Amino acid sequence: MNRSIVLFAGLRAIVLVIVAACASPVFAQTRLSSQDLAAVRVNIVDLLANEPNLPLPVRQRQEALATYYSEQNGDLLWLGQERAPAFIEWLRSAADDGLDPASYPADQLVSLNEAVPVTDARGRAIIELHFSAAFLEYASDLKVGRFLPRKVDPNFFLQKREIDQVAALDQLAAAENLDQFFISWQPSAPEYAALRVALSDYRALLANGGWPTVPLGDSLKPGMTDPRVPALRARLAVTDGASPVAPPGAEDVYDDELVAVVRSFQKRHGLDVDGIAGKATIVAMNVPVEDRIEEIVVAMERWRWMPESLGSKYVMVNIAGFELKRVSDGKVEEKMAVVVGKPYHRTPVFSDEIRYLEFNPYWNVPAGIAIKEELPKLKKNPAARAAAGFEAVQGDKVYSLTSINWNRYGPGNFPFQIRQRPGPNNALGRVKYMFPNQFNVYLHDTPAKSLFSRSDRAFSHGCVRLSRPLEFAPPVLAAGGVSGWNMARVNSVIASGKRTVVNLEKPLPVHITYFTAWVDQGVPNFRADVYDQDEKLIAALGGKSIAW
Amino acid sequence: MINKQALSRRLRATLAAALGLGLMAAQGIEAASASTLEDVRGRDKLICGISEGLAGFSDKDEAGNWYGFDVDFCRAVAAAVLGDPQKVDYVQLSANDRFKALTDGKIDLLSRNSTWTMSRDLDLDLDFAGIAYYDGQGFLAHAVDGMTSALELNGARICVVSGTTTEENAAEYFADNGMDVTFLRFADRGQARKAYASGECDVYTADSSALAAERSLLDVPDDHVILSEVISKEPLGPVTREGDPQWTELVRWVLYGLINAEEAELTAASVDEKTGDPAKRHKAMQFGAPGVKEFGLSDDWLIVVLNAVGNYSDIFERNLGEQTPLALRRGVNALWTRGGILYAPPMH
Repeated sequence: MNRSIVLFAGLRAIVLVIVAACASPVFAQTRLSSQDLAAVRVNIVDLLANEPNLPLPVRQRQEALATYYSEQNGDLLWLGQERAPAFIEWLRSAADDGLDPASYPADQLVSLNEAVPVTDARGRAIIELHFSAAFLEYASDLKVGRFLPRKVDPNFFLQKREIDQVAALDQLAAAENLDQFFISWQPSAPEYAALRVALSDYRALLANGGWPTVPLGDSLKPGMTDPRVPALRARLAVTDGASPVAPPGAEDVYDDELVAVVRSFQKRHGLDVDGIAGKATIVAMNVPVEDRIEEIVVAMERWRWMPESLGSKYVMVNIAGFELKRVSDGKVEEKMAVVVGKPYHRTPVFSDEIRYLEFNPYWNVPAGIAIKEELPKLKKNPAARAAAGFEAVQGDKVYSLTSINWNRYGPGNFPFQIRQRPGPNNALGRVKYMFPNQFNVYLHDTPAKSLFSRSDRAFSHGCVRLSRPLEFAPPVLAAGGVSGWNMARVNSVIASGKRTVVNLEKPLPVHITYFTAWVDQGVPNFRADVYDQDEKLIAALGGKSIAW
Repeated sequence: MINKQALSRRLRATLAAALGLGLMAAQGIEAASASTLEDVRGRDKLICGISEGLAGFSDKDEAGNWYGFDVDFCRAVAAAVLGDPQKVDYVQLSANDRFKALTDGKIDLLSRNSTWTMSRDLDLDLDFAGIAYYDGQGFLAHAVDGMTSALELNGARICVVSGTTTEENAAEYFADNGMDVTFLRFADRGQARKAYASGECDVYTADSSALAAERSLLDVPDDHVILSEVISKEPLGPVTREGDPQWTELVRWVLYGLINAEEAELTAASVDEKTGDPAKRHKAMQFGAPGVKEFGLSDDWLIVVLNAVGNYSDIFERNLGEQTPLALRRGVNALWTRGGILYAPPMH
């Protein structure tokens, strides 16, 4: 057994005794002289350079720690500093940021600090390193999200980021205090800050017992009298500002005031806003506060996965909200309904940049859809598909669908590319917004306009269909540095029927996201977990190994 | 090298094929233990093989009495067959000796955290009567290190007891996940635990139930966490000698009786003749009925078992549950009706 193992054994043994003595130990500052601190720093640099048996979290960050502590001004961050007790408090209140305090060794760090005599420079060095390793773990969890097994769902990790560990240590050293560091370090999006407030509010609701449920039954229509109205009123009094007291003698009447509250509840849950308390509305009301808290927590986790900067102007699609936002300098300029991929053809979550628009596009039918969906139709009635504007392409040659004997072809034997000519029936409509990516996903118009009036809009093969595709073109082009486009010009290009590509001078960031909870002007919004992504994420964050 | 038991089995098969099945009985191979049930009745004692001491599974109290999950199963079988849970002689067996003790006829039953695998079932002359505990390999880590998942263990030094499939499972798991780890091998759990406690290893890997036991033996168990991943299937259960289907069936239905009793909420109290629920008592008698004729057990054998050890839940909670030093949750060992996979065929 070498020296360092003995050292760790000693450290660990003392830690054990102290933790046993008190349930939630308080961090005690130890005074160290500047000579002591200098000796500790020498030991740290030596340990990081020469010690093979450092604790695992230190070994895993050895390079960054060595870089920091060997810097000219790589001062000790914890020993003899005010930061350590503040850090313990941050770890203990990790839940405020939707993190799990049980994942961080707050108590053990406190005990470790108390376990080693001030004179033991090498032991003190290990403590400093333990604190820095725990700090880097927490700083990473807070900024870019917790560790998750990749196998849970590859779709979670399309662009998993990592923190710059040396920069984090440098910034911590430069910050006035630890609180200031973490406040500037946590995700900077205002959406994250708003969710953090909502999380605290909903936890307070939970502490107060949540909300009562409303019995299911026939749809409650405005003006009806029903014994369930008091329950409805009590439920909405908790979260939606319904008056808890009914007009005397009219306790069972579903009156206009309550109808207005139901409408606002429906709006913030993405339901049909009709003021009728039907099944979907009551089911949403009866989702327990614990589930809403989890939705907020996973939304905060997903904000950590977002790029550091979304861009000064950008487009954001929320798959779970079936909505697109166009944002300019922090201001939402436009919102529109979108149709997204159905659960078996999920729209992926990723960020990219819109590079060009294509008016009057061809629709190149993807190979999978061509064989699975088009070929059977071609075998049955090629003339009907030809009338719908489809044609076959092989190399440079374009064939009429009726000139080919489709019965000769099948999976593994399909030499054609099927495409649909521009026109009113084209599946992509009259315009598409391209951000070429590995998923072959883009934004486009659609001839199937009726779907936009549905509240649940997961119908596509993965692409995002826009409800106001043409009106979207001038502002996107302007944001992309292309001037001179107004609706008249868009309409005339469409009317020409010619495929027309317009490149953006400046690519426009587009973020495809999946949020089932967000705060809109102070109002918490919740949506259904259309792709069952929350369920998986909650399980994974809870450390469950799941087979799906 | 051809193993002796496999050879003897092949020989028997050949002989039986050549001369007809009647020969086997006439030959009297292993005739002495042809009926373990008769042997047990004749000696009025069950000889039960258990481990040399594994907290929660087989352990000795200050008075020298054995107790634990595996021990309680021996007691349940003795209660069913002999009407008395005390009529058991316990034989401590090491991992290496356990199966030979059974095939050599030194014990009637092996109740010693043994994993049911195909090769054990086929290569050794053994039968696994059922699954009493769904175990799996896990990792024990120092809480101060802040690990929550085995997938965070890149670069870790891992303590492991050699001579089991444990290292192989872990090596395969980390290779699959593209991770680099180092194994430190020890001859027994005591040494591995000591090395882990001293910080020589970052984590300690073994079956989760064994890790819970090891954790309970560390100075401050709360300073150690069992990580969330379970990386292998380790179905543990009682083992009998091959070629004695009656005995294997008896052992199997004692196990299933314990599980079905939990599902039907039959407890020592609820089946009590005077103070219990007559419907529950009737149910326990019904459950036991098919075994009465087949094995010659008493009418109320299942009630005797419940009085001796309780139902599956009672055994689990008493020896392994959250109120014990092991603090294990039911997890996958919960009944199938409660989100677990514990499932016993019906008793009628």
